[in-house]
Amino acid sequence: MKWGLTRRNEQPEWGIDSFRKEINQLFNDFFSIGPSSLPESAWMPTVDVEEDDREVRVRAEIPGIEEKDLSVTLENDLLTIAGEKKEEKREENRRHVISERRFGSFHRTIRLPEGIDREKIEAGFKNGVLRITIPRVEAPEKKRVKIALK
Amino acid sequence: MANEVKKMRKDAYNCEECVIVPPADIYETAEEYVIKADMPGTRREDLEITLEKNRLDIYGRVDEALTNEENLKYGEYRLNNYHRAFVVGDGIDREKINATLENGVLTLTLPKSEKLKPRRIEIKTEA
Repeated sequence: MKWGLTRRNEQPEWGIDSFRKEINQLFNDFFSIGPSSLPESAWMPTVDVEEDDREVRVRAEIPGIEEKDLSVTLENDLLTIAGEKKEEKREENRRHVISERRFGSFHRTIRLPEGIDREKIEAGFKNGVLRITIPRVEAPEKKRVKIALK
Repeated sequence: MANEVKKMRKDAYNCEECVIVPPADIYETAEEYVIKADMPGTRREDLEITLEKNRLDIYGRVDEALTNEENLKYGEYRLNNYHRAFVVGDGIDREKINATLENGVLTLTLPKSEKLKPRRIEIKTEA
């Protein structure tokens, strides 16, 4: 547990970072998060993906951003959250004691599973948390089909 | 799979009842100190800020549980409450501390007490 002051340039080994890598690895084949061909943005919002029979729910923590600076796009099966977290104007006479919060533009891409209803995706942003609900299409049950041999 | 996630989460944070230490910026101007802390998911009514002696405590409750952790396919962030404490100096006008919460960012303004504010010293010229 981290207490007290941490300066940005010290960048302690956050447990979450290595954890994130592991998780990334683990689910790479399911959801690939972050396009590998592009350099990662200066910072990335943390993301949770939940899934059940009815829908896929994505939740991202993006504190300090205004709704107008946020965009959610769907291209093929890639859902991209992008935006810019603007830093408040730094006045000349400010003396910074600690700076831990991250600013700048970011993007995050999530590969969606098959069988989603692209027209009914909903997104809402409240208290710095973005929620995207992606309903599944009424799944034609993946019945086992017997193919007759002729 | 979900159980692995659960276990990894637990291992990574190494605690059962975790709190999140929100990242913060602190800066000082001539008039005041400003603390900004990222606390996404906290609502105004879930915030508690106390100043006791020289210790400033910020609590933020996140009143949301995963609907079902088994459904979690990819998890990075922690649905835990926030807590962070700061030590503040004496030169603060304790009555005039102001707090706002906007888009998940808490801004605390701590005005400096009169004696700490820079002041111009009049130079008296003898006539």
